[in-house]
Amino acid sequence: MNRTLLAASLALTLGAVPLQAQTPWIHVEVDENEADASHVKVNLPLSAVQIALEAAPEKIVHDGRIRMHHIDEDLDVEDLRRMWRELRSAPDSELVTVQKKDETVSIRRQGEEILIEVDDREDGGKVHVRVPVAVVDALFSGEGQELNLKEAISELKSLRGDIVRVDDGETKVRIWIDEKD
Amino acid sequence: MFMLKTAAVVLLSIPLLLLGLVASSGLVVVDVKPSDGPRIVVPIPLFLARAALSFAPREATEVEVPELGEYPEIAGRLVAELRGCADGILVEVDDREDHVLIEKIGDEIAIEVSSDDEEISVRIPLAAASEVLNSYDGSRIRVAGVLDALSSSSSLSGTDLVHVKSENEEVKIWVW
Repeated sequence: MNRTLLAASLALTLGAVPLQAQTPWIHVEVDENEADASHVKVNLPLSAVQIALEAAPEKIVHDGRIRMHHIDEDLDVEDLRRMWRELRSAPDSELVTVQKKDETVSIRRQGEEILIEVDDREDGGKVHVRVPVAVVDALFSGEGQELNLKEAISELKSLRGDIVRVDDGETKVRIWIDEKD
Repeated sequence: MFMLKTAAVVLLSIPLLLLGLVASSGLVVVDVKPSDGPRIVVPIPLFLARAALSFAPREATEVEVPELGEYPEIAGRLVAELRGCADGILVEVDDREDHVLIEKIGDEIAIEVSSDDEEISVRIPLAAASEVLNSYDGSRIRVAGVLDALSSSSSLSGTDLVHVKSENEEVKIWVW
């Protein structure tokens, strides 16, 4: 009886470890390249970010949905949503390519991810964004001019690795998700 | 002779009783060390502070925090989430003049801000923060709730809650 109890407690304890280890954390790192520069690091459990989102002003975020017209009047989320519906079912391919004399922008689908790359040859800036299709779906699950941030963060919980990497020559930004434990 | 013994026992038991009360309810110590004056150390037994509150006017028993408004429920859940997460650095900002570090250590959030002329260190016990949030009534925090939180938080003993060090003075507040 005692052995069974001991084994059960051990199993519970060991079972709890991987559960806790799977807590996803979002990390943001901003580093300026120049000497005497600023460095910012933010590390937070995604679940805490989700809760903190609820504290955002109602005028901008309502029920986890961000009202974009309060931030950028020129951005039409409806248009973006329509565009996404068209692109969503596209196979692995280059979705958008913009080639200028000193800049290349490429948006492509690779498996279940959308990859956005910007190469600014004039300033030496590089932007690399990796977003899972499920996150974009979740983001556009809002209505009208709303983006559903709450759902998007929920979807991010299953993502691991770099999401955003920006290096514009002066500043490096890296956003990634991992299991801190 | 018997009377003397009884008086001695009664006299001895009073400081012991007080010591017991202080030990069980806690003691907040405020220590101010100015660079050009005498050092001031004020120990405040929490049971005395609590007793004094019952005679204090209503406005002294509550602290207005309208900024918290409708957020205590969200703040409470955030605190609970932080209590459950692993230890580590939450925020670190390093610029030319200041260094800010917010770290989760056990059941506490440690905040350190240092600049050329000042060092500030604050420790927020999450259990106590949770109790304080529970005492929020929509616009005010009850001072009694803060005292309860301070005396019930076992992790606080001997820890500097606040430590400010500047060119002119050093201030420490800790709980025993």
